[in-house]
Amino acid sequence: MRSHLLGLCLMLVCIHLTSLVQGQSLLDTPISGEYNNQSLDRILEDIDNRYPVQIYAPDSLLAAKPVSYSFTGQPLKEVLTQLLEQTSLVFMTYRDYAVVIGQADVIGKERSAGFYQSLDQVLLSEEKSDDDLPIVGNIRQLNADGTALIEGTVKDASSENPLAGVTIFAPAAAIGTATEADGEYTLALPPGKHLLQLNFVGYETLEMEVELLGSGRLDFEMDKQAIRLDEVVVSSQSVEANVSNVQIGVTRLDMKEIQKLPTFLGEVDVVRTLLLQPGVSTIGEGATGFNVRGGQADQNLVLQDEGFIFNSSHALGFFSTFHADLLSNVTLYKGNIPAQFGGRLASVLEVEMRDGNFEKYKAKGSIGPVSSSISFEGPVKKKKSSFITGFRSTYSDWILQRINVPEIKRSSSFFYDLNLRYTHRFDPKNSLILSAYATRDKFTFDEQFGFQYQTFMGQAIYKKIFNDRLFSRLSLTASQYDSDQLDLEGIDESTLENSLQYWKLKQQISYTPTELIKLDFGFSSILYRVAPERIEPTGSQSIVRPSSTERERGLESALFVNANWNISPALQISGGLRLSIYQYLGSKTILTYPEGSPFTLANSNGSTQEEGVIASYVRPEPRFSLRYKLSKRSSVKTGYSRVTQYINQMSNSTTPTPANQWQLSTSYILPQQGHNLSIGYFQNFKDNNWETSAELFGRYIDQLADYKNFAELAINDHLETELLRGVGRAYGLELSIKKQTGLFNGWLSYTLSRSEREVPGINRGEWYVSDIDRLHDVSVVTNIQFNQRISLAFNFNYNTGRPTTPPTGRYRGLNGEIIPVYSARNQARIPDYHRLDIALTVGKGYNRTKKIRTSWTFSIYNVYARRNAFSVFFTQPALSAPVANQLSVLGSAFPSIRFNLETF
Amino acid sequence: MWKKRHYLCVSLLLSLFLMGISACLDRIELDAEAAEERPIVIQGKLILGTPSRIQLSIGRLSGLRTDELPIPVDVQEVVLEDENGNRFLINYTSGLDISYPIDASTGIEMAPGKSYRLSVVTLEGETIQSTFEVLPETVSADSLGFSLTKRTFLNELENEVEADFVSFNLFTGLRTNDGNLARFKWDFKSTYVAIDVEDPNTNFPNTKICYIDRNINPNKITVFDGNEFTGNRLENFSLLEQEVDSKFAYGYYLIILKEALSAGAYAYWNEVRQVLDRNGNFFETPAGEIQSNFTNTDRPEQIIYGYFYATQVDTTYQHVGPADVGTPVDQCRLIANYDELPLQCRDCLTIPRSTTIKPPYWK
Repeated sequence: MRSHLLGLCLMLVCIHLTSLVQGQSLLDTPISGEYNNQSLDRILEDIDNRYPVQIYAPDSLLAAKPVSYSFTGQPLKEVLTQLLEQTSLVFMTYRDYAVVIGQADVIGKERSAGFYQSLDQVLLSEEKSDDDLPIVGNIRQLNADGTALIEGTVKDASSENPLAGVTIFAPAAAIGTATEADGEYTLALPPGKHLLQLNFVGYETLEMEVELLGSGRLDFEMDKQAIRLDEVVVSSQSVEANVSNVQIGVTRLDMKEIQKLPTFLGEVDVVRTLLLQPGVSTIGEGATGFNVRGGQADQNLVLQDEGFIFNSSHALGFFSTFHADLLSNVTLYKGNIPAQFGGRLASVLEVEMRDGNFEKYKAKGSIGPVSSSISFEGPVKKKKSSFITGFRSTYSDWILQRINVPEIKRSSSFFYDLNLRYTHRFDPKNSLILSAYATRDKFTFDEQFGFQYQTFMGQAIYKKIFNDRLFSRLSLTASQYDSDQLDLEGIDESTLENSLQYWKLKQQISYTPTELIKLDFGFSSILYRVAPERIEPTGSQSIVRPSSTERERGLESALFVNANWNISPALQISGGLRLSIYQYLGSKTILTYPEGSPFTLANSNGSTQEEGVIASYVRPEPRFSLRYKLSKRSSVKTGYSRVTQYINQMSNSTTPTPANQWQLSTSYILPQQGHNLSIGYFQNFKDNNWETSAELFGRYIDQLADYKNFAELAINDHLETELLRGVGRAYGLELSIKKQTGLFNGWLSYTLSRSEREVPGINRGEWYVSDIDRLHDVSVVTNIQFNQRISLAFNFNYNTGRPTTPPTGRYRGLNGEIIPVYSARNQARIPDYHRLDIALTVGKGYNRTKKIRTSWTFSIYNVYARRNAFSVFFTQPALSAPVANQLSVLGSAFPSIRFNLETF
Repeated sequence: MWKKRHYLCVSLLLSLFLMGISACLDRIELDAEAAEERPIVIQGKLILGTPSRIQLSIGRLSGLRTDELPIPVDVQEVVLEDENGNRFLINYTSGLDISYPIDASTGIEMAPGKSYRLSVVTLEGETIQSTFEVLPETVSADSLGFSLTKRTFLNELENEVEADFVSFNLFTGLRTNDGNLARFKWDFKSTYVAIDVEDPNTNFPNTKICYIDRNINPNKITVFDGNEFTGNRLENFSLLEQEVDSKFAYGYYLIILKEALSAGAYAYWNEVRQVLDRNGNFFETPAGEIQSNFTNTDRPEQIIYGYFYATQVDTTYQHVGPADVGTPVDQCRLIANYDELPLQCRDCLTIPRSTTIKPPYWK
């Protein structure tokens, strides 16, 4: 300790001596100037600007009272003496170019070693200032102890909500802090260049180099890509996530951009925006769910916070169940899935809700031709707790009544969704989130059949910050999904009921042992309970036989660890392991089959009543990602993940229906398993305003099931008898180019891909393309941002028609029937799909002082009224060849208008 | 004023929207190529009745072109066999849909509950054999009723129109004589009358009364599995609807042929129903290859189409008089000028499948 003090004193003496020796010539600098009624601060600033001298003086010490002086070639020393003679301040020179002004009792006395060291750094920084770096403070705001105090707020970029518990770390100085409940932070650092690292669970790690000249304010917005600096911003820094993010195959949606895109019937929709991304497609308009890189819709894990949603579609598939106004982040992992996620082969869609505003009440709403939405948020207890709630509903029946098709007139469609989220901050390091989610749909067609389905979900998430390096996130989710298929008339009048419940417990811990390594580890456990599928007669004339299947239960648990390691500025790797453990639980009656024989009812040699754990699977699932920066603006990335899926939606129709039941893996229905591999090149241009990428991906599914012809899936306790085992593969190339800002911005994405299967018993055991194979898929999104009030957006989408099965021959039955023969699956394709949409958004102005802001969105979906085929089927007119007919779900242009309102 | 313009704008957009919305159905060209192979198609239906008979058709798969006719196949022999090993060599002559009587002289004992199979030996000497198919028990005879109902639909000009329909309702038991639940397939035929319009230019009018037989929607397969339903009877089951038109002008018969099906035959016809009912909707299952119960015993991998089954057929007749359906007018009588009449109005025998012989069931 003593040696440190001695060193400091020696240094101080040296600095003083140096300044005394070198200060003579500087103080002789002749100064001229006429200053009338100006503050001392302004006069010194003027001298600083006009002469080769840098003057440091804390603003707080300089009197604001205007003074008048006139100098004509007087030496600097004399000028300063005159200026300071009425104050308690003195000055001293530093090296041959700087003058420092301070209190007489401070200069050279209090903590002066640190001060002068810092001063040296500041002055050197100013000399070598890098125009690309944001600069914080100036020399006048340096603390007397030589540190600069940075203050600011860290907010969520989408919602602008403050984020509590974000760690801000400066590795070079080994100094860090965390944000308070209101998102505020203070951090004392020595001046100079610093790399600041911001980490927060669920957010992209933010790294930013700043040039610190003195105390000042530096605000951050953490989100998918954008970093914004307010007030102290000298130059904004463009995003680099495209290049620097270690994870390959990740798509993040900008919630603000979504609002500008053309929509179907004016409804802002997360899933429809995803469909414009490379590698994401759909079966067709109105189809439930979405397909990622050749995967089935049920191979996507759709998460709203920690809870997964089994049916994320309203009105069958025209809208998604996500209320865009309530969301903070939407992230799609398209293959290389971090170890903390699991249970699906193709992708994870992570939809995160935002907290309500902790300061003031806000409302937001919109009215469209078929649906409306409204949301409220605000503090329950200011700065301590907040709520946010949103409701959406439809009233589309009035449109159905106007369609000149009797069957449609006799149809109806209704849905709503409701979200409620309460956030409570016990203290800066502990917070609790309680949320509830409910959706309901009812759709009937021609008073003949229909569907109704609903989801209820409740979540509790407890976040704890142990210290700047250790965070915990504990969540408990309970959810129930019910679906009914309704037969509405005649002797078949009945309801087919399905229900699935689950309880999920997940603990995730994030630990940052050093600034270069971040660990995420924890466990999750999900208990599934599939209620008996049940059919019940409903009408007085119905003769449907009531029946049901047995209930099923399964426990899916996982231990996971994921490490993110910055080996060097260029090389970053992320690796992890997920150990999934699944148990199929009794009691359950299962059929037995002779060993090696196919699972058919005819082959079954009896049944047994099984209790306890009927089947158990343990699957290690390694995950790995690597990013190597070739330059500041380019990188290559690669990734691999092994994934296992233990629950599947049993759907043998063109698109899954809401009533398709979910089937757990059993002794005979093995879990689906796949390998995902990606490699890509990423390049940014023009200060990161242009992002480009090229990704090659491959997926090999070494264990999948496909359906036998005419599989009977309803009320079937032995679904293994309707399935065939095989393998699958999907591979392709995704190209993307995106312009982030400017008058014209948007993106172009192209996907060239194949999705194929090989299942003994189908197509003579040869490879065949799956139902969702799309060779080409192109999306162009252009947004013209005329000004802040007006934007015009265009979407164009083209993709190859999906496969279909055509007849290859026919024969005449004994009663005159012409019976077509469909010999092999998916040997033809429906016509190609293309569509153009336009949206004009007018409204939101510059005036942020207004309490209410309104806007209008005018959009036309399918501008040139393309009759895109949803499906093709073949009919057999008398005495002629089979005829192909195409069904277009939306055969016209769909103009719509939407009014949006937001309070501030 | 601004507001007024504003609302006009909104109304215009909404109107456009309302005009635009609709789903569409179009015929398209699709590159669907016919299979290069033309597998053999064997269909056999053994019918218990008086007399019992077997309906046979052995041919090859037709291509997809209009001009491609079904091709009969010559074979060495066709054998019907019962579960007791009794074999009857059918004197098969190459053809499609040929009926052969099965009487006591064949050695085949026809009785419900017994099983039968069909074997075909090809010219190459390969044996194609069906599985044994049980002859199911029958159920009590059907009775039919009908009622008038109105339906709205779009006509060819896509205008919404309303018309009268006759709804035929079925009353039948569901359990066979041995107490099991039955499976059925219904086929529908009709017989109606056409009468020549008198020629005003002759003093010796030679008008005829013709009886015309029709298969009603042969490509619409109606099957029923009693195992999926509860109860012992179907009461007032709406089986078929027919639009009231001039076919009802002089009387009309609906003839229902009910085949009792085994589980295998039901599965076959249910698959045929599914491939014929396809309409491209969201919920339908993919088309697939219809199962066959024939196997080439020498080459099991050979693709064979068709099915053999044994059945009993019950026939029910339902008469609908003109007065029952509002006395519809014969369209031929609406054209005043005889010379402008279609030939079929002047000579009803030119109508396909017409005869002047009164059917025995016609009142």
